[in-house]
Amino acid sequence: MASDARPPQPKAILRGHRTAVQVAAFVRNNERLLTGDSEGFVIAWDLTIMRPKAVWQAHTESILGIEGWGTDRIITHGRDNRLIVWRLAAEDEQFLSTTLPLDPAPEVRPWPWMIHSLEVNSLNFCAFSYCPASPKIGPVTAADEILLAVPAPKISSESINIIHLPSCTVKHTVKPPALTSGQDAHKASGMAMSLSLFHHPATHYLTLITAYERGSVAVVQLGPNSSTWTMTYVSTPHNHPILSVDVSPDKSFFLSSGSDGIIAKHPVPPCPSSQQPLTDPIKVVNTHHSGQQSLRIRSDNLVFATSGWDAKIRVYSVKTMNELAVLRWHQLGCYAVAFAFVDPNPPPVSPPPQPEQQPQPPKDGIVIPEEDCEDDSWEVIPPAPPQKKGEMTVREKRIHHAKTAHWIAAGGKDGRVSLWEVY
Amino acid sequence: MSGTMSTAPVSTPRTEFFQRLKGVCVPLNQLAVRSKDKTADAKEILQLIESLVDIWSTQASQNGGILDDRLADYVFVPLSQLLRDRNQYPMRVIEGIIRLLRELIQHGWKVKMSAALYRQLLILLSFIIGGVPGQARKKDVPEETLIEGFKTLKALITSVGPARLRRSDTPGEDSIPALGHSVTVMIDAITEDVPSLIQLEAVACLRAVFTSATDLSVLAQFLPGTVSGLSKRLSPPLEKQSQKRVIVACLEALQLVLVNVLGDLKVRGLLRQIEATKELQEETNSANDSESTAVELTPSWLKATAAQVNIALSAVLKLRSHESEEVQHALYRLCITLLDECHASLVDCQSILVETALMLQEDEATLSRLETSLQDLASIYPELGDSIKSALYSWVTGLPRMMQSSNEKTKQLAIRSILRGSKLAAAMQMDSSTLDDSLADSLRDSIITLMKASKPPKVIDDLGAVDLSQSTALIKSGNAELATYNPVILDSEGQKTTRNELSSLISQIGSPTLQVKLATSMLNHVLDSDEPTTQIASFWLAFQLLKSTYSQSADLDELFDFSSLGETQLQDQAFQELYDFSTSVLVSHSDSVESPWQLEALALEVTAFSSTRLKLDFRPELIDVLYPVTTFLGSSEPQLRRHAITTLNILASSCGYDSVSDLIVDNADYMLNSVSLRLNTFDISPASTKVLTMMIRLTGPKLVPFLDDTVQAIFAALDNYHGYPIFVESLFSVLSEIVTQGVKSDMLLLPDTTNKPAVNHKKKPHRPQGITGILAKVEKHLSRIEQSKSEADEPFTPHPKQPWGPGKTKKKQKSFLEELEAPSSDDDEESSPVEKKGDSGDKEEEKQTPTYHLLTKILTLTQHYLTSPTPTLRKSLLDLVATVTPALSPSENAFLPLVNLVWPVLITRLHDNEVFVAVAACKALGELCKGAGDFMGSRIKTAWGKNTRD
Repeated sequence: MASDARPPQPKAILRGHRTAVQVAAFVRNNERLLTGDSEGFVIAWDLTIMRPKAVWQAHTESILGIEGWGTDRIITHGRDNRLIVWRLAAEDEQFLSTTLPLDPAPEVRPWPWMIHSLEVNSLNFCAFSYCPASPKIGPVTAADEILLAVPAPKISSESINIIHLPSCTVKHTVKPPALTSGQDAHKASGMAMSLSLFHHPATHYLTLITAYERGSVAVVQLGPNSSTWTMTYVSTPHNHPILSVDVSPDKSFFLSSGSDGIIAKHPVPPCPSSQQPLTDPIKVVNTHHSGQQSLRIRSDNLVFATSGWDAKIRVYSVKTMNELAVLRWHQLGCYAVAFAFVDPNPPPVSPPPQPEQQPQPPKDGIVIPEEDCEDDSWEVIPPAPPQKKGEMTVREKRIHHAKTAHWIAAGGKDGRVSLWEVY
Repeated sequence: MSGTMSTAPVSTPRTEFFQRLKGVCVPLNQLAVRSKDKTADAKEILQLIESLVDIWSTQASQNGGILDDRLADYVFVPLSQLLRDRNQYPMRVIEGIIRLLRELIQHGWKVKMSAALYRQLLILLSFIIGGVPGQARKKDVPEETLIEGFKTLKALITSVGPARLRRSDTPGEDSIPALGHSVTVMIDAITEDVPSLIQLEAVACLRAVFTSATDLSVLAQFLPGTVSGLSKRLSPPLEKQSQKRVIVACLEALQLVLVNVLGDLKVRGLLRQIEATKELQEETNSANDSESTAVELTPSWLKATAAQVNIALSAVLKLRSHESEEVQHALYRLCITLLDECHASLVDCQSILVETALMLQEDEATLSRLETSLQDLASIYPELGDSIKSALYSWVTGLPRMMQSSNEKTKQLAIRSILRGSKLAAAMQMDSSTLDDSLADSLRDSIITLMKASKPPKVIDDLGAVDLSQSTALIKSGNAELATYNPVILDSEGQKTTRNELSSLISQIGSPTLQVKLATSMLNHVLDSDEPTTQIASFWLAFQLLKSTYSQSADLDELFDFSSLGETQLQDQAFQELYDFSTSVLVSHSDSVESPWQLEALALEVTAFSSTRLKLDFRPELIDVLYPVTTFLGSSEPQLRRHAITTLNILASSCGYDSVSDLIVDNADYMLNSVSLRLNTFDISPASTKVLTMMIRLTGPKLVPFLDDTVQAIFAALDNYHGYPIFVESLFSVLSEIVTQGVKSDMLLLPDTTNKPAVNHKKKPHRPQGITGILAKVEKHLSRIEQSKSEADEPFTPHPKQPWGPGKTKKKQKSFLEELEAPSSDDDEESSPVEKKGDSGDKEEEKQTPTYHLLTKILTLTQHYLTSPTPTLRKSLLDLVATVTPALSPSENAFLPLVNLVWPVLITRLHDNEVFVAVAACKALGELCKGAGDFMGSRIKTAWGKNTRD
């Protein structure tokens, strides 16, 4: 926790990856932190004991994306042009190796059970995004059918394929936006860099956010009974490739960060209107920190964080987009950042969010959103209400803390994963 | 005559006996009457008396029935003659007479003694023992005579019936004044400095008086003197010089005296009167005044006596701190008996009696069921309960003051009494909430007092500094003597008993619920207080209380008691708080914040205790505590070092590890995490570097790959602590340990290097080229000419307008893609600038293991410190170079640049002022040459030339 006297320090450093950590995600009720590296290794960390529970080489190349699906499935997307759905329930972990990639002793590590394996395109480093196949209230479970958005397997992979699981069929192919505005007309938008796929909570329109190499973002939407995708928003706030987009938990807006220092807040239109697509972002902030590769919004919609090539993790207020904290530990560039799920409506007994001690404390930034976030496609179900304090044993308390702490995990080139507990 | 005849056969034994007596008595009488020179005849007289004693006592033991008062009278005739001139005889004769008198009293006169004789003998004996009043004693009375005198006096008093000991109005018949004088003599013997045997006899005599006499008014007359005499002997300063059997006898006598005179049964009439007085005060008052005799048994007399007795008792009861158990027991019996028998008459003494009884109460085990106990009394007389409670309360509040006493015994007694009192209170189910409230504070203040009073003990550091770098130090520590803690507070030998008493008080006081309550309030003190002693005392107390609740609940585990479910919850909660505080103490230590060592030692104990409770579940806690605990091994406080070793032992066994080294090896990742986070904030002490070194040594090569960021942090620390040679040296000791372990790794480079032919750097001799060589050279030359010709023919192109290579803005974009394409190669380039060797190196370097990287990094760093002013550091660095070289040399592309870097600083070390450094430099140089071979050729040559020139 950050203190007045000194800069925030990480709670723990997870050492284990031999190569750069590319992705990180909390899964299964914050019980596990998944990290993936450039060699294709995935490590599932138990934050209660700060040790790995499962280590396997999911891909032969660098991992692009990793997400949980329900409580016992994991989707990984690698540069070896494959997208794999693994089954990794708690009881499966005992059969897996816990020998870290960094361990010099060579070991054959078994794989978890593979449920699906898809050939997808990964030429452009664009990670997949998924959502339930039908608009749904509540978290995604393993039983749900899902839709996966991945770049189409073409050389000019500007279009996006939407694949249905478990049938593994391509349902839609979304073309890149034809940028009709005059000055950009001659340019292609470039390769897709980042995706976000979801159903709009109000209108149930299937919505796809695509961010492109040339710095533009586009929102296309598909009505529940329609078969034509309509562009409802397009904008080019960045001068350089966009590296990451993340949509807010209530789907009212999304943020994008790029290899330039810009972070932009964009609207998500509820449904196509008869007019031209919207073109103006809500807010564009130039942070002057170029290369914020990964951007994540926390589930309570209060803060978001970016991991930068300058080896710093930056935490911003969602509302003001002001920088709240700089988490400095890594010596080399950071690629991945992930927030633990934080209950957006904390029970009244739990302490209020810690007031931040950074130079600009935007008090107004810490506001519990009034919107109901139940139709949240976040990969974890909200944790069970905490037991009364006295009833917990020391062990339970530790587990409880590990699950409810406001973790930020960040990984980078040095192969270390730093774990912070802030705000 | 016929009567005598007929009785003659019957009286034959008596007649025979009489004849024998006569045979002695006649010459004795003649001697007594006619003797001119008493001293000359004394020997003979004594012989005769002794034979008389012999005859008499033999007869008494064989057939006492024939002995009667007449025979005694007969014998007494010569005795009375002798006694008339007693001042002229030596004391031995008198002693014999006294002995004979006793025989006569016991077996002859018995109850039939005449009042006159009785009075006469009383006076005689008293005079012999105490001397004639008003005259100086003529000669010293030997002890034996005194003893015999008291014995005979006792026989005399007990021989006659109680009737004789009654006041008589007939003049000359009243033996009471004589008895009074005897009592005075006895009391004098008790209070004076005489041998204890005499005192014992005197006490026995006194008892005889108070047992035999039943006339209350007589006894009442003797009472004041007796009580004051006894209490004089029983209270300071005399009590110190008295033998314990005398004290015990006196106590018993006092008990008898008081019960026989002031017992409720004896004075019940008066008590009734007092009751009545309360109702009709004035009338009785005036009525009482009218009476006048020697001692008036009136209510006012009773009151005055009780008050005097109270004063006397309060002096006597100080004996409760007497060390003899027999004395204590006698005193306890006295208290109990008085409480019981004199309940109403001595009501004013009740509180001090209760207090003393409480203090002296023995454990139930030793207490006989038949004896009345304080608890029994309290159930009979409910008002005793209040006395008990108030006594307890005043002890509790007075405990801190007691602890200031310099006498350990006093302290122990005070503590023990509280424990006994509260046990009794609990057994009687007294409501004692106010007591409980004051108890906690009182206990804490007492401990504070004790701690402040105790001087810091001289610590015999038999353990010595733990050499952390020796892994054997820990393995050795597995022995049992280190499995228990030394006391943290009150650790001096003299306080041992006090500490034990205090511990037993804490562990037994109140119910577990109360203990938890007290512990919780103590915890609040711990958290609120700034004063270290208060904090330590509260912390210790809270820990002791909780520990005892756990040990009690362990005993009760089999009993299903759902009502106490809430209690265990509170208990766990309190313990959790305690543990959290301990953890914060431990953690803040390694943040190099000064806190008193006792606090830290207690925190270690709490941690160990927690681990023994949680067993394997404690393992995750090691994340936070293992490293701090280990750093205490390097503490400057010897007690803390010992505590740390014990804690580690306990942790290891609780968490299911075979040894402490297993514990450390298995949790190296946690420790590493703690160390590196602290290194990162430059929060490092020499102890932490030692811990790190030890950990690396124990864990071995497999830890090395994980040390990457730690090494980075050490580098940063080295930059920051440039001016502190000792610290730098300790940091380098970590690095050299890493190197030592790293080179052991068989996985330094990937296995495929073994397939490649080993790099051979041996300088090859120059070989003549021969004809073919010359031809090839000519060929080459020709082709070059050809080439330049053809190039000249090429059309002219203008110079490039743009710079070669990707543009600046373009590069940015590209670099991003490039980076994603080949992240690992990029990684290598940046993380180890030394290895930036160009295109050819890339492939190979990619195969290098993290260990290899680390070693090259460390070697690179050494060049900056080889010029350090500390010779030992220089030497260890050179050793480090020598160690690391063979491991790094196989990868030529990485190694040779390193050699180039190290060379200039290394070669100057050959001229080091310290010889041992120069020797180390030679060794390092030798290793380098082995590894780099011909690469060193020209360098050596230059250096050699310079050296020989110098």
